Amino acid sequence: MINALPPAMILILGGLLIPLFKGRTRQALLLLLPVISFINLLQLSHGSYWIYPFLSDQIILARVDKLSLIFGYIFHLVAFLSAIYALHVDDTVQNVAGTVYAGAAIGAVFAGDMFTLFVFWEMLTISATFLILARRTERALGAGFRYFMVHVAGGLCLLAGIIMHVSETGSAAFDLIGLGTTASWLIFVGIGVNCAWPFLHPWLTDAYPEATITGTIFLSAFTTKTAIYALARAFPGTEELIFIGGAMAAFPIFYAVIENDLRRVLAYSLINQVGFMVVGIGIGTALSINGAVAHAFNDLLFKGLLFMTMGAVMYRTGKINATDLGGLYKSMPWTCGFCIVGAASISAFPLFSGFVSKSMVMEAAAHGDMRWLWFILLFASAGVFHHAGIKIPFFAFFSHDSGIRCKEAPPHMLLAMGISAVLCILIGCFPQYLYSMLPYATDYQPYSISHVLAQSQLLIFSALAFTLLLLAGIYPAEIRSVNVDADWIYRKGSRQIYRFCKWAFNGINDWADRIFVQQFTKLLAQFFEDPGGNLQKYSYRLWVEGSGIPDDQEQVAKQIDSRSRSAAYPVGVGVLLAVVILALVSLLLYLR
Amino acid sequence: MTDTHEQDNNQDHAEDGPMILAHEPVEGYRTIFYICITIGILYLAFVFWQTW
Amino acid sequence: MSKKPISIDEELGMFDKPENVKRLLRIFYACVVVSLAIDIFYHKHGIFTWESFFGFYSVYGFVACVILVIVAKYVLRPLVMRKEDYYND
Repeated sequence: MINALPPAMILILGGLLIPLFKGRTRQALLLLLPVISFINLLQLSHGSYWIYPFLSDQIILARVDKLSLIFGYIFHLVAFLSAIYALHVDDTVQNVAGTVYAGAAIGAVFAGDMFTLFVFWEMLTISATFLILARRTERALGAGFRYFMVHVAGGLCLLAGIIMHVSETGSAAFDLIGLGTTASWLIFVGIGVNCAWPFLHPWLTDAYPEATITGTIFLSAFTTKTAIYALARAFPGTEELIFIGGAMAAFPIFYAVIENDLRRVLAYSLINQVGFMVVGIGIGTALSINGAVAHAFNDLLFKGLLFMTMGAVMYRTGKINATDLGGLYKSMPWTCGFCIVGAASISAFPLFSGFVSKSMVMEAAAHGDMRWLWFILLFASAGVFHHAGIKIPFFAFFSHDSGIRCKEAPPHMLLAMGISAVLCILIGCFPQYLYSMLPYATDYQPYSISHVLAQSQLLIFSALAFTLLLLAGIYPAEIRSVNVDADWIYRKGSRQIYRFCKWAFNGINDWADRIFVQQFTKLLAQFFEDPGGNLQKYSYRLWVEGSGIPDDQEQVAKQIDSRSRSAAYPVGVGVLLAVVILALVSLLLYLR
Repeated sequence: MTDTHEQDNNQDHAEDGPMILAHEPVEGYRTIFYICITIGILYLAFVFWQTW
Repeated sequence: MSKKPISIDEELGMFDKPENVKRLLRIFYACVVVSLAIDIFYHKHGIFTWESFFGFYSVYGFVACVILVIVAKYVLRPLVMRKEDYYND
């Protein structure tokens, strides 16, 4: 580890230097940064480095072990591929945000303590927000704002949990936490926001399809996978995760079937895939955690690949709705081919990457005799083929001819897609290299005849269902529309809250205005117009009422008024106030 | 005519494009579909009745 | 992007010709039949007992997808679908 730098340093600092360069130099820098950072990472052996005292504890900038390393490797790889894909982008905001975003994710997975984790966690949020805002459309601005608000809330939840946890246990080390205390629940939910758990998820399906073409490639990679890493580190074997993951795997596929925006279909299927990983972490056996991590590794590649192909379509045609697309296989044959490879990988076809990792989670569920979970996951496996495996390539490249004739994607995009596609196939064919990087040693064999046959039958008959539904005219029509999701709560519900607040707080405001501003000050002003005289008048009235001696009050009041108006009283207002204050002060002193 | 649409707002309302893309049924397939799904559900019910 | 009506003399793509689509569908149906037929000759081993039943995965995949689409179309869509400018007003 001689001469090495903390893993996140090169990408983050290098990213901040990008604005100083222009043109070719900047492009070279964007490509070189992930490579240099990766070489730097290779210098590190297992252990904890860059340990500094902080408050009563210590911060650890790099904790290197098998779990953090595999995430570190794949994050570098994806950062590099995304950089190739985004080579044409000459937009300082995106160039910087993308690089820093990747660096923040790498920093988070190598963080050895919770404070470091939190800093990189927030850095992810900020840089990701810029990738969304960089689209510079009204919808992107709205989505970026909502993205930021949700993640800030999640981040605060995490921070509250961290502070409580540190003060309870006296240690900031980021290791196994496990559910139990309030602090652990806060951390759990804070991570859950980034992990897109049900009801905490709509930031993902809201923002990713609104980000820039290249921004979405970065976005799809880092935030959720960093959360998966954090769960695998802090909450392995937490039973709640099984239910959460099961729900995540199941519900998004229904939305994906009726969604028209193809990048939003992919966003839903991203949640579905993350669901498999969450389940794997929840089961908590060596096989299932290996499966979760391996699936995260593969998902980064094939989901990135699918987003890249849809991005290329959008780049060339300016359209992404299924209603507008179709028949592009003639114009963009290479992109179409890569898309099919990505679709086969995510659908877990034998010889493609999804097959060798998803099956680990499925098998772990079966070994634990979790039959309902197993059925849900099998349902989700069939469903993912249906909406991501068939729907994406079919509606973009085949289906009815939209009449669009465009150029093939530019070479750098094809290169990035090509490398991803080749890797998907290589991992699917030679999974042992992936398995050797996993946190637990494994001799898992995905290619048994039974398993290959079962998966092929599942997928072929899913395809049959699609074909028959389409030909029978039952398959739902693609409709340009908005599908209400849990974000309704803050997009529409917030208006109700606003209306309530308007009623409640403006009511209080009006009341306070009436009492204090209008009535009370008026009284005060009247009194201080002639404080000496008023004091006498009120005291005299009090004395009359108290003593019960009837007197001509009106007469006396008039006398007092005229005397005070002609300044016949020797005591001025100032002196009176001074006396009152002195009296108060001496009273306070006496009471003390 | 441009080849790229980097900053296009693809969901712009003013943009033309069909609102709906329906899938026309092909003669005869609906019957085949109904037969298949009936057999499928019955067979699954049978399997679970045997094994649960 | 250029959006022009498809001219007749433009070279037709592979899937523009109906006979090619039909051929493809036939190949696909053959795959379906073969994949099911293998189950007669090869007895699959699984962890659950139902996994080794004839055609379990095939039928489950088919029924799962049909249910998925039917539920999405007839239950979810009426519940959640709104006009495109739903959030804009």
